[in-house]
Amino acid sequence: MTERPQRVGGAETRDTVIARLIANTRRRSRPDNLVQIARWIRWLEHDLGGLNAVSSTIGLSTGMLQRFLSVERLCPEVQQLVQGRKIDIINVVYYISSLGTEAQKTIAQEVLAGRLTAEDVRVLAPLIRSLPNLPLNRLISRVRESKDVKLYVAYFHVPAGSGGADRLRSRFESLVGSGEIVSLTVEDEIGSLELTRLGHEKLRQAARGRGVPLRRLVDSLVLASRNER
Amino acid sequence: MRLSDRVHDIPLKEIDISRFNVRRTGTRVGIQELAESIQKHGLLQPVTLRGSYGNPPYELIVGQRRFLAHRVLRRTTIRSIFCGEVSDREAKILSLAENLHRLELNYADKAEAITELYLYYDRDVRRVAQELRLHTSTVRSYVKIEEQGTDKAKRLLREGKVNKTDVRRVVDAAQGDPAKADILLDEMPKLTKYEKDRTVRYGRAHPEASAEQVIEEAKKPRIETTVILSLSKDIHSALDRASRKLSIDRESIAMTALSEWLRENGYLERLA
Repeated sequence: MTERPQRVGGAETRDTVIARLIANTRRRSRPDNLVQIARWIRWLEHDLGGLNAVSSTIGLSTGMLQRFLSVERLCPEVQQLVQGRKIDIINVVYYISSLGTEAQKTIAQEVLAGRLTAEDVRVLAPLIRSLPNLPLNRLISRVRESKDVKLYVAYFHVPAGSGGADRLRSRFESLVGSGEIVSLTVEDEIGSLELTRLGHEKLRQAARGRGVPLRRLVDSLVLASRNER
Repeated sequence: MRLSDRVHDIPLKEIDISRFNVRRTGTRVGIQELAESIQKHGLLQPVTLRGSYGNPPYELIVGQRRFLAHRVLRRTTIRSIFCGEVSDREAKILSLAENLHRLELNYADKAEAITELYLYYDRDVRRVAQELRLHTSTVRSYVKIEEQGTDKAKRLLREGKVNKTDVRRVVDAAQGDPAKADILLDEMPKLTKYEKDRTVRYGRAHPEASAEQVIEEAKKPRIETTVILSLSKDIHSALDRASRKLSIDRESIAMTALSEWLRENGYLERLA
């Protein structure tokens, strides 16, 4: 990926940069990474004489341009993740960029591991500033624990003689992991499985991977637990 | 009011800063940087003067910082356009409209100017929004805080110690009880956004609850349950067709169909 336009100085170069910036700021899927976009904004700012001029040229507010430029305030390690598009959400970059190096690295890892969403980062950043004496990990937990909980419940038939809830649970755990099952009960031949959002996604993925509907996957797990005896 | 298109080089000594300029605070912040930029690139946008060309002295309506930067650079003239002989009110609107769309104007300046215009236009939010090219919800939010915010909230806001969103949340959650509002405001920095949102929801739904109760309830996450339904292929495609035709998401259609059946068969109470 080029850091600067190939031809510098001519009108064509300016047009190229403007076109690249418009392509990267007006579409849902950006062709380039955020580090590259910030470089182009700076290049155009220098070329046109100010951010206001960039703003009116590409039709993006200066506030939004500042958001794109916030990538410059990231520590090199996190900037590298952005350059490799492992972190590619402008709001994550913007909110992380106002924090110290260690906090940036920790939060970036949490985002990469899928433990924090972009919205969580937005919630976390002001909390770090207003509660500077609390350790970062505690604040991260506070944010995570304060979120409304979304549970996904599946009901299914468990024929008599199909092992117990424990055996069934281990079957589901093998697909979604133990942490994603909130509860599993069997009463009067009706099984009730409560999953986290991630657990629900994993179960759906497993069904897709096997090319069967979710219902058939669940039935096959029930049957397998029965045959285990 | 119409701005002239013609740009003139006007001597700085012929210009006075208007008393209607809405920028009262932070006028000197960043002037050196602005001066450096002007030195390097020139003045990209001319300042706006009241009066007509050839009749000095002129009043500076828009562009106070650019004007001060020119003084720092010891320039003798500045590129200017004229807005003619506008009324004091129009001068203020011009200054405000220009500055509101910049990031630098702080809360106190904005709130004061918007509230003043709001009173001038007989509390007509739409008119103020139209004049200032702002969204009505933005004007409403400033006015709401000025009208319903406690003295403490307004003071902290002006000092930059709380933010506008939190004050608005507190106003909504306290439901007109100033003592409750002040307690909630003290708690706001310790809450996550998720908890703050619940503070507003619970406060609105339970106006009789004390501030402590509101906070306690806000700290409890809500549990939202989604039932996973395994549908046969034909029901699945029917749902897709209905969703496309009605522009309603599949979940809502399924929910409506299910609740209607349960109601019709006596398993779910009918709505009053």
